[in-house]
Amino acid sequence: MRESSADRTTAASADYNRGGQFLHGLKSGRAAGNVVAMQQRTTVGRAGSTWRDSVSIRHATATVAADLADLFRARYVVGLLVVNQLKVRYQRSSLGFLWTLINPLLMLSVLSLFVGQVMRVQVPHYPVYLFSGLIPWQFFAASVTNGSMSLIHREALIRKVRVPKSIFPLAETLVAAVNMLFAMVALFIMLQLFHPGVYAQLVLVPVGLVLLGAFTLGMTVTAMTLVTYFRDLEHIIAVLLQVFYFACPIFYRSQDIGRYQWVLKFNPMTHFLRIFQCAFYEGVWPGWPTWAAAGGSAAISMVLAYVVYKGCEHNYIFRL
Amino acid sequence: MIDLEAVSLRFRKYGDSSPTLKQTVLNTIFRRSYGQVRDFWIFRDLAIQFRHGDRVGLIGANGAGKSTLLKVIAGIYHPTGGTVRVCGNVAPLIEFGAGLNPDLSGIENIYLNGALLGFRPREMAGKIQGILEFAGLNDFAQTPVKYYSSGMVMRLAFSIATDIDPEILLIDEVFAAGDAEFMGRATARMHRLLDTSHIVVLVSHNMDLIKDMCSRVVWLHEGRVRRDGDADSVCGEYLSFAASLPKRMTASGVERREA
Repeated sequence: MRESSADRTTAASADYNRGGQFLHGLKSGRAAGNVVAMQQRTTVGRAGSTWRDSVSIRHATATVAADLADLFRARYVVGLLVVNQLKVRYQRSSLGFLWTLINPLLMLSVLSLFVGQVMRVQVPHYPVYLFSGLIPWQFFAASVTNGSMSLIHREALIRKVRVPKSIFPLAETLVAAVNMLFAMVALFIMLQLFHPGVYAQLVLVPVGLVLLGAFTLGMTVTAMTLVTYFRDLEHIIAVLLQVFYFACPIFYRSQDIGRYQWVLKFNPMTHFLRIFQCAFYEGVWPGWPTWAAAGGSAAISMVLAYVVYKGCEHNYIFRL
Repeated sequence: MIDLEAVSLRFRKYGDSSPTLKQTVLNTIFRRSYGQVRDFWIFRDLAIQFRHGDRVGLIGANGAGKSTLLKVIAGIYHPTGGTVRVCGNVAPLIEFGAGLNPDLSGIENIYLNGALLGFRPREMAGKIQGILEFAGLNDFAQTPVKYYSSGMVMRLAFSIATDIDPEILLIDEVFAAGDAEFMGRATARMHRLLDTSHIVVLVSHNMDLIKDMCSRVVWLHEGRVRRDGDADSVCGEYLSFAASLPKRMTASGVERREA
């Protein structure tokens, strides 16, 4: 069958040439009238800031600035994706969005009861310690888990319109971030009730959030690329996250695990968690090694994600 | 204006499944090609220009690359080589309804689709009423789309996609949507869009429709422009070409991938 179609191609090649000439004639014949039209369009394209007005010249080397501009133009899409996802989750429940706040509050209360009355833990104010690490961890885990599947789930959309693919993992990270913020409000309420005090170090939380957010977004985009290319990784990532969870000082303190402490030093997550644990639980200022490790990990994660993303940007669609 | 210069597009054809991580790692390390990955060129050095005022019909056998060409123009596929220049806002009427999220209500879907086409929520707010009215879905605005009938979904998708004022209109096959009453209004709206858009590119197998709507017809054959000219003569040539083919060969065209 291949042969027969090749024959037809040869036979028809004369036609192609004529077609090409015809096209040339068309070009020169109409060129004069259309240069103006194009200039007009270009001006309008600059004046309007939404992307439907943009004049796109593709296959030019895109810069970081151009990518950011692309992302900025898609800000409404990102916003709607985030809002819709949160809406869908709490659709038809009468308390609706409040569950984002109530849920962690209930969890915290149950745990406080359990740990305080049933199980004796050496760590003072254990629920507060646990949650100051668990909340950022859950953000990370949720973002990576949901974000890694985000392209696959949006396949129908991606095949239909042109959008920067990065908005889908970004939206998942933001959804997880919103949930984390609500959980932190709940934690803050708990601090007032159970813990001796609220520390001045709370001012570090926003800085910690930015660093952790960057690290998480980078990891989410990388995971998304890997899962889109190699589907089996979806399941492997779930297992890896479980292993990762135990390698983080969340339900135990780093000084509690004796000679394996060195492992924690090489785990970037340890340093992010440390910032939150300092702010919510210990009330001390984290040392510069913590900041350096957190900042460095965040930067490496973002650069890695960007390189991977740019390498695959135009090929994701063939892998869906 | 749409200007394609020496555009090439490569698809990867995988065998039974996509290559595993192990295969990819080993292939990279040993610089060998192992597994069933084969390159498949949809276009090679395709050059074509559409100018202001063009009403272009794209015709050709299945797998000739008509829909793919629309997606290249819409920016959904990035060319493997060459340059694509598109000036003006593009309205892709491709795969209708595929972009609707079944869990969201009609209104939420309108906002999301509007944002995807580049409209701010503020601009969309002014269009909501018109879209719902045209689709006849005023009473179902808050209902999640998953509870819509298939006709309602099509009507909503059509109303969103066409409630725009595009400069470049890309249409992949004309759709049959809804009942006779809606079809009448939909056809009227399509004609208005066809009249007001600067460039229209229409993919169809319906030669009468093409002759009716298009002034210029491009016949794609295996990823190349085989003929490019006025509607009547190109359609006529295409039809006589198709009639001259033995049945088996037409079937071989069908096997090729059309994305």
